[in-house]
Amino acid sequence: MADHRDGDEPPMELKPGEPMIKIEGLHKKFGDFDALKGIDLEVLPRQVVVVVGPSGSGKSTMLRCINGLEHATRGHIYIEGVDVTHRATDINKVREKVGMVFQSFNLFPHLTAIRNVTLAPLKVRGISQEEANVKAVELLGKVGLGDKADAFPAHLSGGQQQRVAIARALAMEPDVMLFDEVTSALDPELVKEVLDTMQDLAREGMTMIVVTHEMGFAREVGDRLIFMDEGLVVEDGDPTEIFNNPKHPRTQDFFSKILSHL
Amino acid sequence: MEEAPAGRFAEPLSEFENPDISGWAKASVVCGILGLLSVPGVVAIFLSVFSTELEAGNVLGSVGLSGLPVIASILAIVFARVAKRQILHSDLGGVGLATAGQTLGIIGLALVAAGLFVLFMQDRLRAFTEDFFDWETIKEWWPEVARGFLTTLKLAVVSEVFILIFGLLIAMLRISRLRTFRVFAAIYIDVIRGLPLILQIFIIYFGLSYLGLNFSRFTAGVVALTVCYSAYEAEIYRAGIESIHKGQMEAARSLGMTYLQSMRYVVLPQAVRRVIPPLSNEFIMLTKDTALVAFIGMGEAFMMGKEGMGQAANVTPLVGVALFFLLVTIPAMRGVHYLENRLAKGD
Ligand SMILES: Nc1ncnc2c1ncn2[C@@H]1O[C@H](COP(=O)(O)OP(=O)(O)O)[C@@H](O)[C@H]1O
Ligand SMILES: [Mg+2]
Repeated sequence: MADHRDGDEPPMELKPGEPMIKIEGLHKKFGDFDALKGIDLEVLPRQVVVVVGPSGSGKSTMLRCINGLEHATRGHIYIEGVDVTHRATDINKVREKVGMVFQSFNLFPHLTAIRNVTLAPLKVRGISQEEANVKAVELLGKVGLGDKADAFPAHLSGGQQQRVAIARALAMEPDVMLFDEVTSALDPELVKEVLDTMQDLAREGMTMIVVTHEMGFAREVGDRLIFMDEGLVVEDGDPTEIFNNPKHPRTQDFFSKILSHL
Repeated sequence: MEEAPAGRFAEPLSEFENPDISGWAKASVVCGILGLLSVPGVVAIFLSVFSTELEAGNVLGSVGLSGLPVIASILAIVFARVAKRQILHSDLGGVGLATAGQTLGIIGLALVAAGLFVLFMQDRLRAFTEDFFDWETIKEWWPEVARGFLTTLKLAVVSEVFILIFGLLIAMLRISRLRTFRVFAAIYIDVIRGLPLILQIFIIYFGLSYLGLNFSRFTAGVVALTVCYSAYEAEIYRAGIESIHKGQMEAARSLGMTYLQSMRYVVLPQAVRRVIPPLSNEFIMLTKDTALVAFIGMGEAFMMGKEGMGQAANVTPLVGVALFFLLVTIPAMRGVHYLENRLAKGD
């Protein structure tokens, strides 16, 4: 359905009170397989949305559609009013505003921590080396790695690598941050340092979509929780309320499985 | 253990200092040195194989091989045995001296044996060296061969520079998202890799001249080698690029970098590191394959060696070419091996 590709101009900028991210009828097919079957979601500025759901329910696919790593099959995604799915939209400009942190860190192994952080600002925003360095040192300090600036990723623990990855995304001064199971690959004792960093970020007012299985984080930091299943959002509301009183049978089933291990 | 009676240890200690016993070891060393008297003679015999001017070597050689050094060497070994049987093992100096004498004795005997062998086989060896290491031919042809080899190196290095660039370009087309580019690159790579290099060299050189494009032989050689080797190196680059986890490209793109920026600053630096060893191997192959452009009349090493062989009527110039190649290729191969190990550890 090419209807969203009509028109010559991408829609205009965000107006006051409008959502930071607006997803309308998002469908994604991989071949014949429907990974997303019509997602509708609005994320307000400064909101922290936690996304929960069983493996394969389409959580990663949704995040990847938001910053254009996957192309939506149908539907629209607006970020600050700009339609990501529009043909005329410069996806690189959108990505400057949308930071993403991955489960597998994906740090650049041939670069030191500080050069991981400065690379994109230097090449994309064209700022000076000094400016980039100052900014990177500040960000590494903020994620508690001020002393690791010259370390290569291979010499950092998983938790440290993930925090560098967060600093790297922040260096582009994004308006939105997407986190895709960023603690799932970490040893248990390293999870907290990363979650703490994310909590600090939330306190500063960053708009965040966080896919996670950390229910403590969802309850304490999340403003809102959405539960996804088979490519659809089946529940959406206050985290504590959903934990205590899940409405959808799928949600009940999921939480009973998770919570039985606690 | 306290207060061991001094007398008990006094006896072996005095034996240890007995000059007669370490005297055997000293005698062994002296005899060993005498045994080396055969050296000038043996060297002369060796040289006489390479040049008839050194016929006198036979006379000298006989003197060298005469009884004295042989007897001296044998004595050196015998004395060393006697010394070792008597010297205390704690007497490291004495043992060392005896071992030295023994070694000299063995070397002395080996030299005489080698000298006798060469003297005996002199005619055959001479025929062999006249074909493969003829001194006159070496003197006459080495500058030509060396100059040819310089051309070989120049051809290889200039071609490699183009190949590294052109090969990367083909690799980028091969993995492009645009089907047309991918198909074009795939066809190019398959066609080129499916043809003998010598055929490509001929087609390019003669084909171009029929088209009225008259390249110099050097240029034609560079073009042919570049066209051919780029296909192989493109595949190596591609394998290197594809070996980098796709999360690297995605992380770079998610930061707002363009596809080309992500390639340039994130994927390629990692990929190139991985393909340095296989690319270096290709470069070594290329260096050897430059010999094929001799067939379009390029005066490189092989061509010069062949010409030398024709004129001097022996194989010496080609052996010279071979030695020049090995001088470059063997260290290069060792170097690649070292790099491979270093990179394997680094990853
Ligand atoms: N590139 C792809 N090609 C084919 N199928 C895919 C691809 N990416 C994801 N999928 C499928 O889409 C579904 C949703 O995947 P994903 O979004 O990764 O789920 P989640 O992150 O919730 O575990 C899964 O069934 C997965 O196998
Ligand atoms: Mg996922």
